[in-house]
Amino acid sequence: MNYKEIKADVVIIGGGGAALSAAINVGKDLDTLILDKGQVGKSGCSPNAHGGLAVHYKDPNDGPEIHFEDTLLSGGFLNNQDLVRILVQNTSEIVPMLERYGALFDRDEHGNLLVRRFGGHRYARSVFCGDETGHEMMNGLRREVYRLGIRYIDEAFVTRLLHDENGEIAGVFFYYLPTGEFYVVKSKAVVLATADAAGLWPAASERQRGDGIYMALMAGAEIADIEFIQYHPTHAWWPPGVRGSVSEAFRGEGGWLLNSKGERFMKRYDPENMELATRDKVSVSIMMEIRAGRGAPHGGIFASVTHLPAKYVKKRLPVIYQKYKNFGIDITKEPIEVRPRPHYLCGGVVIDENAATKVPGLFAGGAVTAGVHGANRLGSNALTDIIVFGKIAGKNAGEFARSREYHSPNKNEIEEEIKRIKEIFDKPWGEDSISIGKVRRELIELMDRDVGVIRNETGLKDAIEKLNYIKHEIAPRVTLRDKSKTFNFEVKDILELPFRIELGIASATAALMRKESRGTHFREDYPHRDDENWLKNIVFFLKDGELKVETREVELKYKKPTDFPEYAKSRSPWH
Amino acid sequence: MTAYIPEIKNPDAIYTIYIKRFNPETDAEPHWVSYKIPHVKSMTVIEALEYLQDQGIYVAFRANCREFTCGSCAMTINGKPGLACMTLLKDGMRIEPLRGYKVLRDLVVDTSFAGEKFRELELWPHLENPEARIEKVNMKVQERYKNIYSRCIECYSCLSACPQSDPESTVYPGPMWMLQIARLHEHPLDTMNRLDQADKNGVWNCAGCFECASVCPVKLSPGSLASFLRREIIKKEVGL
Repeated sequence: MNYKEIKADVVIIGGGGAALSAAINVGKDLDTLILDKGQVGKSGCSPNAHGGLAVHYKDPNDGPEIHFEDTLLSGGFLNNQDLVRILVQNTSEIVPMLERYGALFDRDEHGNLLVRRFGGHRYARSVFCGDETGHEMMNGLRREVYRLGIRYIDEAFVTRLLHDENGEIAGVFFYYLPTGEFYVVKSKAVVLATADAAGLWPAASERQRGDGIYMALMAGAEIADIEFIQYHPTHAWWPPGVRGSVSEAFRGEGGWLLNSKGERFMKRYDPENMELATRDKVSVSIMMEIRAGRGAPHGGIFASVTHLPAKYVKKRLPVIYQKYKNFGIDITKEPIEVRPRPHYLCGGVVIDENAATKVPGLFAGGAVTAGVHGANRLGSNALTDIIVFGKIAGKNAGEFARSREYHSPNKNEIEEEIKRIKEIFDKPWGEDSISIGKVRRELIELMDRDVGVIRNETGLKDAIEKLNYIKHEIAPRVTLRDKSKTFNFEVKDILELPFRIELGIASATAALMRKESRGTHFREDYPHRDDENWLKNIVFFLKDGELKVETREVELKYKKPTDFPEYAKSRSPWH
Repeated sequence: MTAYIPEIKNPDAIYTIYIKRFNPETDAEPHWVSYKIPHVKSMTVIEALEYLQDQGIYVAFRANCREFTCGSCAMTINGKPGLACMTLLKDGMRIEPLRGYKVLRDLVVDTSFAGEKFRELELWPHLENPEARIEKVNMKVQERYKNIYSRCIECYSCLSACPQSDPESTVYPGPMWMLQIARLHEHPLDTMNRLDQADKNGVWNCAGCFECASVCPVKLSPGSLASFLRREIIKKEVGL
C-alpha cells in the first residue's frame, strides 16, 4: 500500500485554541506535530468567539466557588464536577499567560482588566478584547507556537486513529488535502483538540463536523451527553448573505418577533416577558410557531424594528443596523428573517481529570469533550475550557510520551483506511449515484427537524429510522464526481459523511432515551426536569465492534441540586 | 458547503459569473469558465460557490468562518482582492485567485509564506523575564489594539494589492507585516527593537498609495502603520 510515514512524539489534532494550548504545553524536549484540517489560526471556532473568556473574578464577592456553582446550575448538574473544579481553579494565570504570548485584553485607565457579564453568570467575570476576544486569544497562542518552533501541517485531514496490536494508540492516519496523499504518523501519544459536532445541525458555519468525537468513539473511547445541542434563538436566517446572531439587544431595544400573520406570537408562550423571555424559551417558542405553519417564507420567523423610529434604531442598534446595511437591507424599513441555529454541542469525548480517554495514549481537551458544560454551556466558558483543558491534555500527553517507545501501528487498520478512500475515488458515476451535497442537506434538515430544539418520541424514532435508512441505502450510493487529487474538497465532504450519520444516530438515540427536559434538551412530551430519574449521563461506546449505550449516575461530588432549594423545587428545564 | 443555508427556491434573476479555474493535474493554463447562478437579494460570492458545490461542481476555494474573521476566503473579485463571504454577488462577476501567489488549484493559493514570515520576523514579545506581567497600558495603545491590531484577519488582501511588495520580496514584505511589526512595537511586554526591524524591512518603501486601505475587508489602513513606524523612527532619531 502506498503511503508516506512520518513520526512525532506527540500528535495534536486540530488547529484552534485547544490544539495550540495543548501543543504549547507538551514540552520542549519532545517533538510535537499539529495536524490541522484547515489552516492553523484560521480554522476552527476559536477566532470567531466574539464574547469573552470567563477567567477574572473582579468582584470581591466572586470567586472560583461561585463560578463552579453557576456552571453546574446551567449544566443541569450533569457536569463532571471534578472537571468543573479544575476549570475554575485554573483561571487566574490565563490572561497574564496569553499576554506574554502577545495578546492584549481591554483595560481601564488604571490598568485594571475590564470584564463583561454573560447570562447565567452571577458576576461579570469575562475578559475581552473589543468584539474579537477569540481572535485575540488566538493571536497570542499562535505566536507562542511560532516562537517554540512547533511543527504543524495545514490541511491534513486525520480520518482515523491507529492502534498497536494491544489496542493502545500508535499514531494517526491522515489524508493530505493539497496532494491527495496518504500519511501515517507514528506517535507515542495523541491529543484530540478538534471542535464539537454542531455542524450536524444547520449551523451558521460548518466548522464543527464531529471529526474528533467520531474518531474517538471508533478508536474505543466513550462519548457522552451528545443529546445536548445548544441553539442560539435568533440567528440571521434569510437573506443568505447576512450571517451571525442577531443579538439579544435587538429584542432588548424593543424589537418584535412576528409570525406570518404579523402576530407577536410570544404572547402565547410567555405573555409576561414577551420577546424578553430567556434564550431557550424563545427558541422553543419560535420553533413552535414555525411548526404550526406560521413561519416566514424561508423557514424562519420575522424579527422587526420597523415600528420603532428609524433614528432610535440606528442609535441603539448600530452593529445590527450596519451589518444588514452592508448587505443592502435597511432594518428600519423591512423585517428580517431569523431562526434558532445550533452553535455548540455540549457533549463529546469522555475524559478524566488528566484529560485522558479510555484508550491508552489518547488525550482530549476542549470542545470535543464532554463533562465540563453538562447539559448547557454558559456563555464565555468555552474559551476558558479550551485553554485549561488543552493545556492539561498537552501536558499529560507529553508525560505519557516520555514514558513510552514508538509502537507499530496496526497494518490492517492502515490498509482498511486506504482501501476505504481509494474505493471512493475508484467508484464511477452511475445511474443511481447521488452527490454528497444532496445527502448532506437532507441529513442537516432531518437533524434540525426531529433532533433539534423541540423533540418528541415520534420524531426521534422517525429520525433514527431515517438515519439508518440513509446509512444503509443512500450513503453507499454517494459518488465522487471530481477524481482529482489536488485540493479535492468534495472527497473531504464524503469522508465526513460517517461522522454525520453515526453521531446523528447516537444523538437521536440519547434524546429518545432521556424522558425529561433539561438544559438544551427539550422534549415536548416530557417538558419537565426530572432529578429523581435523570441525574444521569448517557454514554456510548463500542463493544466488539457494536455501538452500545448505557446511562450512568452523575457523581454529585461537591454540590447537589438540593443545595439550591429554589432550583431543586423548580421543575423547569432551564435555570 | 461551508455552512447551511436554506435552498434558494425563488431567485429574482439568473446571474452569469466567470471563475478562473485551474487544475494542475489536467490543465496547462488557467482558464475562465462561466456558471449560471440563481440570485436572491444580499447573496454573496461564497453562496454562489456553495451553490455550485450543491450542484456537484466543486470549485476549490478555502473558507471557514463566513463572518469575515478568519480571512480564509480572500480572492480577486472583479479585479480587486476581497473576501468571498462579504462581497455581494453581481451579474457578470469575474472571480479569480488572489494575485501575486502561486495558484495551487482554482481559487486556492499558496499561503505558506505567512507562517515563515511570522517566524523570520519573530513576531512575538521578547520578554524581559519569563514572568513579566502587564501592569498598565497606555490608553491610546489599548485603543489601537482593539480597533486595529486585533482586528487584522490576515487575509493577505493588502499584500496582494500593494504595488510595492510581493510575497517573495526581500526588500519590503508589505502592509500587513508593517501592521504586525507596529503591533509588537506597541506591546507592553516586548523588548525587541521593532523600529530597527521596521527600518531593515523596508518601512520606507511604502508609497503611501493606500491601495491596502482601499481593499482591506475590515476597513483597516495597514499602510498607515508604516507611516506610524516611520514617525516613531524619526522621533527616536531626533531624540523626542
